[in-house]
Amino acid sequence: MRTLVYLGQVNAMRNLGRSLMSVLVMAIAAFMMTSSLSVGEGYTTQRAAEYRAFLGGDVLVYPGWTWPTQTDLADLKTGAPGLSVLSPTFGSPLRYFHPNYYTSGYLTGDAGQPSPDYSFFPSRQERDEVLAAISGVPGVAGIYAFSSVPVVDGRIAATFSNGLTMISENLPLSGFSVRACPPNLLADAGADTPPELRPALGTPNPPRTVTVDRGLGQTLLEFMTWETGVVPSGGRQLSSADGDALVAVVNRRAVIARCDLAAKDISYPLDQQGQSVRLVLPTIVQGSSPDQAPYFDYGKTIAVEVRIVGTYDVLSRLYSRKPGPSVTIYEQLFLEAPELLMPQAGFDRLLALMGLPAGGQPPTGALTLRLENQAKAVEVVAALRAAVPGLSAVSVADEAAYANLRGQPERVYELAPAGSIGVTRRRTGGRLWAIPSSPFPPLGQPTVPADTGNLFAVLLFAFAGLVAAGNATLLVLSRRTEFAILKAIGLRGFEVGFTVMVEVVTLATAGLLVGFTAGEIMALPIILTNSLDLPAVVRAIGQDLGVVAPVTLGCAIVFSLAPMAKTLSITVAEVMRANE
Amino acid sequence: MSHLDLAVRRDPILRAERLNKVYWLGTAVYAVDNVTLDIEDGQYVLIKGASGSGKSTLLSLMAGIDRPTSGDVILDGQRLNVLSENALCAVRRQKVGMIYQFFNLLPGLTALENVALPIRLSGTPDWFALRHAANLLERLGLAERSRHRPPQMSGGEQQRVAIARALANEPKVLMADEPTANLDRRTTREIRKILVELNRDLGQTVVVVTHDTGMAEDAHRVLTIADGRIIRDEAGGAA
Repeated sequence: MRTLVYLGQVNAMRNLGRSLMSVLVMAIAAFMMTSSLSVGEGYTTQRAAEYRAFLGGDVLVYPGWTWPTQTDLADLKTGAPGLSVLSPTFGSPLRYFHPNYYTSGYLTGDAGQPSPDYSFFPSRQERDEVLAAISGVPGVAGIYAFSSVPVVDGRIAATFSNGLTMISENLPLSGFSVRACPPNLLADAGADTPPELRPALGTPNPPRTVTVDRGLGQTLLEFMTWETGVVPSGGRQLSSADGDALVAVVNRRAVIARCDLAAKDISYPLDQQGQSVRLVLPTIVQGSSPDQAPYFDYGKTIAVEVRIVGTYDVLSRLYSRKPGPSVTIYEQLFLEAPELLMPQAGFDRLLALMGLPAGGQPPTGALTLRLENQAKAVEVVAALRAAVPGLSAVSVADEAAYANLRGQPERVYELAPAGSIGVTRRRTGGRLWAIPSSPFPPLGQPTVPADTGNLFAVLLFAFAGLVAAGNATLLVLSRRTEFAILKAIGLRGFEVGFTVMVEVVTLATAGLLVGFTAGEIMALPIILTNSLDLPAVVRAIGQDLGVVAPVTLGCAIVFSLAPMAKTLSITVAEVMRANE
Repeated sequence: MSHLDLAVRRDPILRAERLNKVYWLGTAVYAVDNVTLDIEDGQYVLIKGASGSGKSTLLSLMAGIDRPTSGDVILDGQRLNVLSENALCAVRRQKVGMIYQFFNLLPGLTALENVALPIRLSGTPDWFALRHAANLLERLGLAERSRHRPPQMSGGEQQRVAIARALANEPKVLMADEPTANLDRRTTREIRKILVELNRDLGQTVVVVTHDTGMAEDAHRVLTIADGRIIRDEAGGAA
């Protein structure tokens, strides 16, 4: 056996020049598959990690009518049930991804039902039924209710450096929400929290000051070393040790956005001891029957003292642009989420102070599901839709991809022209309807590149295998005498065929090594920017190899059957005929 | 006592019984026509004939390389006609050593590896195969060239490597098909000398197919073949 393997390897090396095409296509196939795996692995792990961390999970679940698809938009007409304008004060992830649905955007029809203001779920019973249904879906590791209350009024003291002097300013917090902090953002988050969903504490150079770029294109070099994610940027983090204390952390960029600044330096909007702010909140009124959702009563408010103990930033994309030839300007984008995060127990206490009775329905803007494996988000979303018909489930990564195509949800200082809202007029049933249309071009559902990449790589392997098989068959035909010699000195038919298989597998291995190495090198930046430690990177590479190597070698073995079969037709007598 | 005398007292190492090889080219063409032949152990037999007379076909039938249309070959007491392809491979590997006009060495392997290959295929440990192959090459004066590949060697050197490979498994019969046809005179003399020494000193049975009538001096027995038939069976110069 060793001799036959050696013979095959020697032949492969000797005929390498004539088999370069086989090696090349195998290398390309291995490269494509490696890239799609590594990029897929990294991409699916890191995909929209900052939003997933900030929102507390990988998949968002709303009632069925909440998340309009392109079909919904095409079918949109005034009076259609289930489409409505959301209140600007309503706390939901939709406000970051679909702001036009949220405010006075283009969905202006008669909804036929009241605008959601307190909760997407009409009753606690319905909410609990959805919770029970989705908790049984395979792949769901945990559920977090995106629960927030609007801040009617309040002020936070911010300090700015204006050259040599420090200036303090009280900034309004109206328009902010107070939200229950997702468990993954607590300082003592459970060990089961994946690293990409934890606060990004590894930031090597968190800037104490930020230069706000108002279109002047100032380069923020220190951000080059930043990672995406939720980054604690001042004070301290929340932890479960806070219990039901009324403490909070605030989104620093949302505070900064309230400043009337022109290229001023801004320090943290609180000192290291924190500051107490007085929040004016609406009261919660229970509906007329227990199964009806409560609502906020803005006419009757309460004032609550909340201590803000820290700030955080949600860093998303790093923009680069080229204002001139050899000049590249980088700009860090942030999600300006006007939110204060409170520990869950403190938030529950806040709800009680606002008037929510024990056992009452808390406000719910979405259910956020954390998955066992983010790479399976597409499958889990499909399973969720199948498990709960009419449910609106979407992965955060898809939402982010959808929104980012429009320059949302981060605050982008150089927005493309938004266009104008169009109106289509249609006459139905003797009535004229004014149907608003999107100012943005219609978009399909975002795809998952890793999946299509895999499919393409598999197809490429089939192509590579065919090329290698064709090439090897031609080589066999051009070396009939050589194989006849092997038979003449006593190799049996299948042994000769085996040497051909070894030859093809050796060439495929060469292609595998080239393609896999190139694929991993290409994928390294993605893997490394995932903040993975070395063992995790090695594990990811090992997993890639565990997929690519068997596929490459399996493909080589299958496609070596054709040239092997050719050797069977070679007779040892051909050695004699070659002499005559 | 000559080798012929020795052979007379033994069973034939190779026997061809009414051997026929027919090719159908519109009409039946007899490449080998009803040949019956005994070759004794230790004999040096030369088969000569004009081009296309069927001598190489006869050799390939006797070596188990090709199968006869009818008749049988008995090699070292074993009937080849009843053997499967795999069994025939084993016979070729163990009992026949073949030398070809164009050497037929594997170009990717060194001289040493070419010679060691049949030994390795017999399941012999690598270290032994390589040592045995090195000894054979040394005996044939190629110790210095053992690490060279065939394209780096002269025709005579390649043929000597081919002889070493043919001897590697200590075959019962060494068969050579036009072993000197592709060589110059000096090299031809060397190869002839090697074959004679193998036969004389080691008692190796040798069957050579050739155009070279001069080689008849080396053989105990000279067969002349024409139109697939043995038309003359006479003593050679070594008889």
